[in-house]
Amino acid sequence: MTAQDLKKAILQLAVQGKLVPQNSNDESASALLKRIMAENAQLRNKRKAHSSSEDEVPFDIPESWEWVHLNQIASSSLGKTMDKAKNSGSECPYLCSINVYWEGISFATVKTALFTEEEKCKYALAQGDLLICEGGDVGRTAVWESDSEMYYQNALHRVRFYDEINPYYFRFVMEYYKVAGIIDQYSKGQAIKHLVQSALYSIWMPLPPIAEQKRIVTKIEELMPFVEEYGKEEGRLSSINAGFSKMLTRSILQEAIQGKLTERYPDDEPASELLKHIRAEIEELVKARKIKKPKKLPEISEDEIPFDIPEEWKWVRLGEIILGVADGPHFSPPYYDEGIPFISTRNVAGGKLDFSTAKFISPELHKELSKRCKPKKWDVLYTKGGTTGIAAVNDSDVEFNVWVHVAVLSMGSYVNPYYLAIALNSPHCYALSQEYTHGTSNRDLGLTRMVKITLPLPPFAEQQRIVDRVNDLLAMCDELR
Amino acid sequence: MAMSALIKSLEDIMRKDAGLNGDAQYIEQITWLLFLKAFDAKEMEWEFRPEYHGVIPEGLRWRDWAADKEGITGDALIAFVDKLFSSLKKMDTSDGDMRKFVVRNVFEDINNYMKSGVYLRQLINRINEKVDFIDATQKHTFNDLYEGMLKDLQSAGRAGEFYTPRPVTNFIVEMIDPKLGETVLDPACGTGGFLTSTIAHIGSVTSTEELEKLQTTINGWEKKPLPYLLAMTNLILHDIEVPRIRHQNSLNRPLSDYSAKDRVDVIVTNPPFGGAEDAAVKQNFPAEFQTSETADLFMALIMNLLKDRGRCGVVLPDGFMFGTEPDSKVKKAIKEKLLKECGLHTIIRLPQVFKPYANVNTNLLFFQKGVTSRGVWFYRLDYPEGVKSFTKTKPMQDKHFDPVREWWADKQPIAVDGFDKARFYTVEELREMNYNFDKCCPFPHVEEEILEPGELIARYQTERTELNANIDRILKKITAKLGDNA
Repeated sequence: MTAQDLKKAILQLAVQGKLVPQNSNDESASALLKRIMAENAQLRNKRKAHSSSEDEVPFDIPESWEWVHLNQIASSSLGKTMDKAKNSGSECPYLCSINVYWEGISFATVKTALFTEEEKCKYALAQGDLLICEGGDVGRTAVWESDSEMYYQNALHRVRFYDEINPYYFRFVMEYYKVAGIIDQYSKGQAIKHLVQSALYSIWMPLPPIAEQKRIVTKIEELMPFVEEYGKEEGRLSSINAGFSKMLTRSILQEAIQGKLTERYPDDEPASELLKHIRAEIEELVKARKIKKPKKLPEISEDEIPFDIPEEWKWVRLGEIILGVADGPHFSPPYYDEGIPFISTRNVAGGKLDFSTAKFISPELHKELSKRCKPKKWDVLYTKGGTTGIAAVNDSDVEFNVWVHVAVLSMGSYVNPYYLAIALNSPHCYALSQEYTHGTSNRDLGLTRMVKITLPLPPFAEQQRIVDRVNDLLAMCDELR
Repeated sequence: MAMSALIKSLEDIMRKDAGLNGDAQYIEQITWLLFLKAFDAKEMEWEFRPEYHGVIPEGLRWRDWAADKEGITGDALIAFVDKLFSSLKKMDTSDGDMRKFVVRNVFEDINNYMKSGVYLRQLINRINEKVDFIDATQKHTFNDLYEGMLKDLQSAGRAGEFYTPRPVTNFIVEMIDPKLGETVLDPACGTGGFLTSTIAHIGSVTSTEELEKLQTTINGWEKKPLPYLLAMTNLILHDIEVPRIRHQNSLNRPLSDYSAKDRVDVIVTNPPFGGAEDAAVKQNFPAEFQTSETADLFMALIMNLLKDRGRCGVVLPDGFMFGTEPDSKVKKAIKEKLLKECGLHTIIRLPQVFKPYANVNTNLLFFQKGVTSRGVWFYRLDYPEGVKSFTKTKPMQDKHFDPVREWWADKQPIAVDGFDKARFYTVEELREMNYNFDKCCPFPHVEEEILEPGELIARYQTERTELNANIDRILKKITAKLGDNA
């Protein structure tokens, strides 16, 4: 329940006569109406408003109330039409829709124009006038409370009530009708909505005894501060709920790469040995001319180590444990409706490979591109343009290629791709990826910088244990969403 | 010399021995060797006194069998060590020499695990080569040694057994300012860091009466055999010949059993956090303090053990500050008591000084029993300019506390960039925020802060509970207003 819902519920009670009890001593609404008819000559001349029938009115009201049209209880007119050419007279301040808000009248920007004496008479505002927006945010209503000189323009209806009828009560009625969608039903127009006078007059409004009107207004005003307070707390609750699931995921990944989710097994070969195997594998492949000789990377310094890892693990740079990294073409190729899927950042940004929005390139181009970069199953895709620093494992059998914004990392037999993706997506590596990403609008995580990213390398068997643990935990986290 | 290098080389030797399994045993192995070596160094000093009778029997002293690097080795050494242990465990204490009790108590729970005399000899020789207890400065490396070993002990993280960084212990002792003759207790003394800091703070004692006073007023309790052993050794090296360290679980005694004779003038301590005590231990405490969270039980204990007007400086985690469900009722009860009866007056909020052992934020609480608090001064100690975090090679130092010292002398409110850094909260204000001390002078939320899942969840639940409680409170008011037709 939002504060808006709560407010709507309170207003609904109000207009249905359920917010405050009726008092039999109050002069009933029908008596009030009779009195008004007697006092106001204009009304006697008008066609008598027909009484409401059951199906016309939106809800039931107490016995002492009456359904009315505004023109039975008030006189209303639109303001002065502004016409620079024809205006004459003296410079006067006037209100239009930018001054009328539910919260009240805004004096931030008060325009002025020339009003003739006759116009001043016709378009002056008096204390207690109800101002209703005819266009824009149609139906937005406020009470003019001041007794200073002020006029109004034809974007507003000025409703002046007869007798002692309470304008604040009707302001709440308008507010309820707005949130309940009733005002919009009466507004005409396609692009720009308007609430013309005849439409305004045709809206059925519930009229309580005058004393009860006052009681209702007082009650609502007492409740509003609480509703506001509620709104604040509820807003905070929504935002912490929204943020929590994401924060928990990140926290879990960070725990994973510190070795805090898994145990060491005595039979596991330590990472220092693993690294030797990796280096040997790389050397073999270089000799066989299958891969390029990797550039030597600087030693990891003490300052680069943000937390301790188990003794059996080792801090490494990304470039030390991969067989190679490549990215797609720097140009945008011609796209077709079908062919070989061609993916970019958005297909990886969710942490999983997603072909649903992939474009397609020709098989010939794919063959060309594959000479330089060909994603294989179990490679890790890592975004390096736009939204950078997100990794996903290529678990697909489908052949595809990538644009320059996606890097393809290939590993040998000693690095678990799912572990690598977890590590790259952890807060530690993600922070580094952002540090290494240059540019603001054209963001780029260059390959030379990317390979410097440091991460903890666990023993091989432990890598899989970590992957399993993380998957279990994240599945549980998903239930929180 | 670099402790970590020494430890690595000692561990390299021990790893070769078939009898040792895992980090915990490495530590035990090193600690008894260090104890005997240190104790012998002390004996050599004591020998200069008239009428000195030796403590450890001749033939069994370090200088007799270990000091010579060409000394016994191989199977003979292992056989000797077995004999050594059984003698020490059964040491004759009939002459009343308390130091004999010390040796016996220390060896009660200790074992030799190594099977190879050759490796044991290598280990002993390496220790002799690199560690010299006669040299005064070496005494202080003792805690560093333990710290280095703790780092390797992964499980220490789970048990909440942390070595408190010396700048923190020094600062607390400085502010509490224990005087010679006041009884001082650390009921979770670990390796004795707070106690040695107290001794250093009191300064050198000259007369025998003063030495006697010092010796009888410094007390510690420690549950685990390893830190107990190291604490004993540590205090011996600090010239406390018969350290009053009890090898016991402070929480294992019904709180009501403690009486005036147990109460002390000063308590300075860093209780273990994150530990969970079993139901039996919980029962030792009155209902309002029954929880399984170790640190909270210690707080209940501490409040009880202080004399009237007794002072305390204690390290507690952020979890205590905001109150984690479902134990937040107990934390609330403790905070209420701290304010009402124990004159809680200052809380210093620290950044992550326990890194890289643990990524926790901690807080230093200062209070005095028998005083009603008017309110609490909070002060947030930020990382020094240009420092993003403390590391193994660039740890926290005493001088990093200088800003706090300066502020403490004349407490004034401070705000930086719109965030409170130092501020006084009245008891009323604290009650209004439901004793969620975490709201007072918190560290500005930096995107980079990654909380451990446990802490993250606890914080979320606390916030959510608080918000739900607020929401319910407001809805109740609204409902009341709706029904009120006076």
